[in-house]
Amino acid sequence: MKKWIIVSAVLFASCELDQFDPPSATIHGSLKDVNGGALIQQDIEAGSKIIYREYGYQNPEEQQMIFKETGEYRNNLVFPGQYDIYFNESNFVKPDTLKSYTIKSGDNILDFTVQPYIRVSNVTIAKSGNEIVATFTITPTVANNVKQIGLFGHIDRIVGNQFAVQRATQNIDAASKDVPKTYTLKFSTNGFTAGKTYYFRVGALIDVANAKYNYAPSVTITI
Amino acid sequence: MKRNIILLIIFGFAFSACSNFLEVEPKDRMTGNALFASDGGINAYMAGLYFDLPIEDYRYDFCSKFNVTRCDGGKNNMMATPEAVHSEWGDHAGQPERYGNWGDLYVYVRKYNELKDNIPLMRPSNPATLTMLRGEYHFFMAYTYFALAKRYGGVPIITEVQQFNGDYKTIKTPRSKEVATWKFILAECDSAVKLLPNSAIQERANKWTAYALKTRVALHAASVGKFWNANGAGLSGQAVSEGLAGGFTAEDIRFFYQECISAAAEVIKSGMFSLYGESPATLSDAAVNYGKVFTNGKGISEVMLIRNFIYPGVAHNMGKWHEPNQLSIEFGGRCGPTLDLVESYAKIDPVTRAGTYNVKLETTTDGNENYTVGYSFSKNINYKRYDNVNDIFADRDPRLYASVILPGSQWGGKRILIQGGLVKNNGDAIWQTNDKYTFNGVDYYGKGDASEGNVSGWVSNRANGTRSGFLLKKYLTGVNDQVWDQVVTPFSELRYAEVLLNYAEAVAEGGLPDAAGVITAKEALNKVRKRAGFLDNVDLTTTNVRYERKAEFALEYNATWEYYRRREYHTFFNNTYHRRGLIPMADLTTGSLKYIFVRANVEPGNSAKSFEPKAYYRPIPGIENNSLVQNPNY
Repeated sequence: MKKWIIVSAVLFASCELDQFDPPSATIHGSLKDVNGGALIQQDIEAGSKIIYREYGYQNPEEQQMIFKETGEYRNNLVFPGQYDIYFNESNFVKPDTLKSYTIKSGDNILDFTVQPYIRVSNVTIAKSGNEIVATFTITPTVANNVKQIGLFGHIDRIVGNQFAVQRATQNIDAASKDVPKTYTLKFSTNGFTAGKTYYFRVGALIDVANAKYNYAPSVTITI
Repeated sequence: MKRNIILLIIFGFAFSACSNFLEVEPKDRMTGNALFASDGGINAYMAGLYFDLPIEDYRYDFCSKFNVTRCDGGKNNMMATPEAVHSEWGDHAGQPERYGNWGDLYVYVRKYNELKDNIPLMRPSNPATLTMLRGEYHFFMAYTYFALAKRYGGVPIITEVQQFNGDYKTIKTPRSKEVATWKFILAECDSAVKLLPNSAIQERANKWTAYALKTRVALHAASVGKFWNANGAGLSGQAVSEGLAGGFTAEDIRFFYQECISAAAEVIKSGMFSLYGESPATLSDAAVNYGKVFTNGKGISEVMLIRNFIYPGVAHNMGKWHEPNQLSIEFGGRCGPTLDLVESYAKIDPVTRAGTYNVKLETTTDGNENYTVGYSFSKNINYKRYDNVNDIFADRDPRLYASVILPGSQWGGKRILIQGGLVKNNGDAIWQTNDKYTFNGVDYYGKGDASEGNVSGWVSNRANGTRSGFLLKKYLTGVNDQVWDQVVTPFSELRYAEVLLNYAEAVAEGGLPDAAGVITAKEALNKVRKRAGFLDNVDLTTTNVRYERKAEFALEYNATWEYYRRREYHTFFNNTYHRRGLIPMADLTTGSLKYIFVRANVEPGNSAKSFEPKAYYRPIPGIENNSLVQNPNY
């Protein structure tokens, strides 16, 4: 929306100075577990997205912000104003829309405290002979089925369902609300370069529309 | 004829202009002028509208639009699916911007609404023609809205020519709910059925093509409802909560399956259509008959709607892009069917002609068929050695031989040489290069021949060779279809086999009874199977229907929507899936020439494909101006 106003302004008034101020607000924060406040890990591509819609326009477009794999986000080019902020795609129970939230000029901090669909805990990932073996516990917080669990290995900390040199997944298709279950997944170290360090992450996916993987923080292992 | 009429009209304008140049008719719109006063004029006008009918044919490029003469790089719908891979590029259906034809489709809608306004101005010699034209209007609308609904879900329904008076509010039309959109399309089919003639003309809409289209539309709608959340395909968000995407009730799903069954029953009941060569004497007859449906559809009653091409005029480049390198003139070999597709064709017993599904090709001696080599040869597999390069493909569903050019098969007067490497006597391999190897005084080459013009696989020149080990045959003629912009092979869009299989699927998936007064769904399923050469009968199960549909419709332009409507795409393109090929290699390890076959990844760029569930609904462009609710997660 704003883009088009600026484009039209340039087109139709290019002989005068653009009278719009540049985006002067920054916003950042993190996604925190309602129990204990731990950061909720994310996929950076095709992961949870913050949707924000600015007031003051007839047809405001949905704009999106993505998270870092750690569950933090930052946007340093935001127009001060009033916004509705909400989620469509997430790995946590969607909170109510934050109505007419004011982003002021300068720095803004906005954290989201939410309930992750699945908590991933007691993680051990280790190299054992020619295999990477991961043992971990998952605890769904909702009654839906757990669709899949996975172990992922990649050259970068963005490792996950979207980016993996090597992966092992298992379909679960069973519900276990609030009941911890422990699983073991493994894959061979073939396909990794000996002597190099790689990132590994385990996670689980709930069977909810638009749901994304939940993960435990990644670990590094030198092959 | 139609061209001549247009030329006559142009000459008419040209030579009359000097005598009465102050009285010219406006040239920017159709008016009640000479064009509509003659049958020829009306036909010429209608030919233009048929040209715009959004059929995904040889001239459709899923990365750009309809009616492209030279689809970029020979891209076709098959390459968007798990069934084939382009020899060079990796575009596929999981990219949300593909199949993005919103603007063009609404231009067609406007043209069709103009037709509706123009019909009262027409003066055909036979007044009954007006009824047919009104029926064609509804047929066009159904076709175009089907193209919209399968891409976008619920869409704005516009049935009048909109007049813009300066106020955008008066022309902005909100999206209808998805279920309401599908019901609108079915109602357009019904209107078309009532008005169109009871004929079997192939090039124009008739009562039966309207019914056939209706089976396709209703089955698509029912499937979107039934498989809405298959394997986690479900979506949420504003468009979903408002019913613009999804929102099917169990009653809606049953209704759409039932509509499909009823429409199919009407076509069957008419008795005007039959499968081409429905009781083949031999298996090779079966393959020939089936192949003809896609290249010689004119006059074959199975082909219910055909699009003809003519040169000079409107032609295409199907054979130009896809004939094997050995037959090509400049370009060729762009479309490589995948191993998984080839292997999915059932085995057939050559004596009893009974079929067995799910039999893998035997590439090893130890039964290990679950390996895939990455992008290089692996010595650690017990490859089975064959004396002849095509023995491994023997005794398959004859539709395979009519749809795919296999290594070592005869085509266009040549033996098609597809070889991806060579294993030397000492076990070392030449892999996808054309290195020479001399053994016992004989020269062997990695790709099978010293000259690249004599091979059709892994061709360096212009990406003219398959990278999957197979080549497309369906829609090709082997001869006379390789000249730029001059290919005129007709396109079979709707066929009776589809009506039969739509009927079978609706009964099986919908859990509904057979239609009264016609063959059962099981008989319909087996009828199609018999034409392919099988003599045994299979039960009507959802799984068998899927097997048969896959074999019957493989490598067709419409197959992409099979994966789409049944929400299967995201289970293939799941971030880990690589389309695979089968690499035939010469093998000299035993001291004499044998052949081995290697299962291998062949996707260009080593990239796994991903299809996010949101891609089942394509993004609507321009929502900041048209004020529509965007589809989920864009």
